[in-house]
Amino acid sequence: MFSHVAYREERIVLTGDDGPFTVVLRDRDNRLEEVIVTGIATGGNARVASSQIDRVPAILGERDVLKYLATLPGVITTNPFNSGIYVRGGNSHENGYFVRGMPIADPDHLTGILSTFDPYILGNVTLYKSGFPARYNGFLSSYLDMRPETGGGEGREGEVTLGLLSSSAKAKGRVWGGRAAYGVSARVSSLQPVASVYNRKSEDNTNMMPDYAFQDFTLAADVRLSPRWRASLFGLITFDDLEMDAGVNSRYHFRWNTLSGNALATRSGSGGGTWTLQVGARSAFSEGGTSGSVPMGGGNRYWAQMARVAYSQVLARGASLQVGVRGEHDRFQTANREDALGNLLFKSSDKSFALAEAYADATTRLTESLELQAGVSLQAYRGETRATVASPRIKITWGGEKVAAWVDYAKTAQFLGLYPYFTVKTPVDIWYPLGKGDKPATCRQISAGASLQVSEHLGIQVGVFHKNMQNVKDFTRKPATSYDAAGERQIQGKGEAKGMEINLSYHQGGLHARGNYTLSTSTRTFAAINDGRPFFPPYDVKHHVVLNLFATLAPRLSFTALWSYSSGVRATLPTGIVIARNLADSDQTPVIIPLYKERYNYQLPANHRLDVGIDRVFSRGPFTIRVTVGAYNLYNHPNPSFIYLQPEEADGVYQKLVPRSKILLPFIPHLSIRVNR
Amino acid sequence: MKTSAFTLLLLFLAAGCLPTDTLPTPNVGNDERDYYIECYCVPGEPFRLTATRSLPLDETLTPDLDLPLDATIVAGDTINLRFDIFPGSGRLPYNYGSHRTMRTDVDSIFLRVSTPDRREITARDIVPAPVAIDSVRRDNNLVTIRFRVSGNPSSNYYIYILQPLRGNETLDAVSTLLDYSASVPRSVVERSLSLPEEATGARVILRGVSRACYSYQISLNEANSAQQGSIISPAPLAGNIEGANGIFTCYTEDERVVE
Repeated sequence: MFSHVAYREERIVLTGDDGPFTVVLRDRDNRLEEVIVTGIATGGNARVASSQIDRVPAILGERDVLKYLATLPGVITTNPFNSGIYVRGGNSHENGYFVRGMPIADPDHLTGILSTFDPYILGNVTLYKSGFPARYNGFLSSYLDMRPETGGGEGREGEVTLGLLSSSAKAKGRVWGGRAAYGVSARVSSLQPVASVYNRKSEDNTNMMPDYAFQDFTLAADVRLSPRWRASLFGLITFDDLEMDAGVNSRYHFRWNTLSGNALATRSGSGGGTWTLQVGARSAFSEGGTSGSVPMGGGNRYWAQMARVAYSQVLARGASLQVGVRGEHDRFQTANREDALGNLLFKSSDKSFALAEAYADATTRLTESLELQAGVSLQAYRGETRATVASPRIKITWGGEKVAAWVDYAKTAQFLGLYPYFTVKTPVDIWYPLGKGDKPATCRQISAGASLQVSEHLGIQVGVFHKNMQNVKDFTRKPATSYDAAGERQIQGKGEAKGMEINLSYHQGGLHARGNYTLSTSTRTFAAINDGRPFFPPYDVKHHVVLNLFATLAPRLSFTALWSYSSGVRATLPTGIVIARNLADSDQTPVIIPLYKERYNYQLPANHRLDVGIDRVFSRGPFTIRVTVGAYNLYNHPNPSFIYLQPEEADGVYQKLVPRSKILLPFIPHLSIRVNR
Repeated sequence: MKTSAFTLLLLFLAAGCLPTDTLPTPNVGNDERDYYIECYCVPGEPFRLTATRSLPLDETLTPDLDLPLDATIVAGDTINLRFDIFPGSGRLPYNYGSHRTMRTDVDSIFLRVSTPDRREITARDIVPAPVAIDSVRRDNNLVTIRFRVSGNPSSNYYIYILQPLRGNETLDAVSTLLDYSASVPRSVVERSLSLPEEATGARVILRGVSRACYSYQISLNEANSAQQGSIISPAPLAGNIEGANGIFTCYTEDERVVE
């Protein structure tokens, strides 16, 4: 009898006079319908695969990594305008985005509906919310590390999509005798035709619907150079352009782009050690101009070069060691820009810094079920100010057969502040490094949690956290009269965030359900804001609930639904009103002017909505066609995107101001088509 | 770049007649009623001033002009302002004034106000150099003015206002705030604004303002934008008055009519 795990069993009866003979083993069909590997989560981080992203309704037909992350406990988005995510009470610019361990530019297309990360390539993500390995530092709140997915199997595959927001062409494959794999993606926005149709109807020749276009291009490659040497490449380029003609004297034009790339080489030694050499760059540029009543123009540019050398060694009995050094040089410029007559409209700022970093991480098993991870990151900053920061990390994990528990401590440091043009994060915000006398922002987080596999199908995770932040940055407000760069208005303060998270997940057959609840509170305190009183920043969300269901109804038909609820965030309302004369009017007509003496003094109503989607897959020859029909905000709840004050009129006379909200995304049905080959 | 806030706002206001919802009336700032003082002096014109207190959000938008104060302006001469009602634009009269006109040979002005609750409110500003429009040119709908900036760069701030006319009818004015503080002193500059299609002519007004006034006008603009949507970061009014909100300043003016 001849048997092998990969071949069918063959029985040959020997008669005694058989000479040498040949046995042909026939392939056994070992393909499985689906293999689910379950493990007990050991908290503080979340690993996401692109298949999980498919299990939440695609917002307006667009699958997006960040939107999926915002369905995890401890992670929120606040508003459809907002292009950022907020993790455990931290600000959106306190999250670091990495590809293969190297920082990349922030993922900003306009608004928060679509990030620049295409899940076709960047669908494999690890989000660290606490217990950070020492190799991650430079951001206070979280680290999101993506591992690009290149061609895995034999041959090539391609995908073409047509959606409400964007259309794309993508491909993956292997070349060079299977030793190299690649993935490429190109996406372009589909919004321009909608804008042109809308604006054609305009009676006064204005294009009140902005002409907005974006493109992003992603490239990833993995190459096996030799049995010991491997190399990887990654590049992401984005372009955005926004133009609007709001009247004969009100024209606006903004554009921004980002560039991120890195190259990685690894050499595996025979003794379990691996050397890693990585170089990279990231850059963001934005500029804009307007010929409105306050003619302004300006721009900002930021670029960084980075390099890293690391060595990791697997030791005996499950222990491991990783050490590395990193260096980066960053430069930030706000541009001198002149108008048609050569007038300086924006005073320049040109700042740079160098950062050197050494880190070490060690993992060891204290007992069969107890693991200790300890590390430290040492950073030396040289810019307008000098600073040295040591950031220790420690995590203890206890793991049983069905239960795991952990506790961790991590200090993080951040050297950058982000000047927000708006009360939400947008692509035109400006990064500023530490100014003279500034100290690095630091965050000390203690986190603990437990995970219980209740049954084969049901798992529960709970966690608590507390963050203490020092020297966090904000900016004082004053009119943009172009006298100074905003960096001169950077201020330092304190922050605190605390909360608990609970997550339930249930998987059985084609049914995947999960629900999570986050209770948290986040405060910030600055001497120059609200008279030094602690305030709830506009990303403080006390209650956040997510319920997600994915069901395979038939082999090629699936249904997904997601209901989310979050407490209302704070907005700023004036504390009083005055009637002023408008000197920019020929007759100095009176105008209603709000007085702002404090920030974040009004809590908006809670947000909740239900998104649903149905996926149907068809096969046509070599093509697989996936049609997704869905609806955003199915029951059309009026979630406020922003508030404004509307003068209430009686007999043609203004009576008083009434706060009202605008709803950016009411019920919106959508359709998208993906064609794979 | 700041006005990208307005762009974004317009994007979503316009992007489809967005639904709206009324929110509960906020309970903010109702116990704080700041003094608000506004005074634009003009050489050769009588002095006028408005002194009120800020209004809570939930009150009728009618300024309370019954606010007795001791108000004095020093502009070469010392002018004690009289508490009375003086006609003003729109439905906003002045509640302090004098029959005396401002001298044309002074280079700075001062304000001192004493309130019934014994607060001292003071302000000072420069008198901008006289402005003169050298020429006005109309090419189709584009109206271009040409003028010489003053020899003092720190006071080279201007407001160019184009008041379109259709026969005897006055259409909505357009304006632009101009910062020529970085321009070569006494250089000649040009600036254009467009008239709407239906305009048959226009009044062209050029106002020379101080840096304090320029900043204040921008802050008015920003505060007004912030009122239209909470995604726009609100900024405080950039007035130049110690002890109160508002502005105490002076402007000079030249005017032409273009057919």
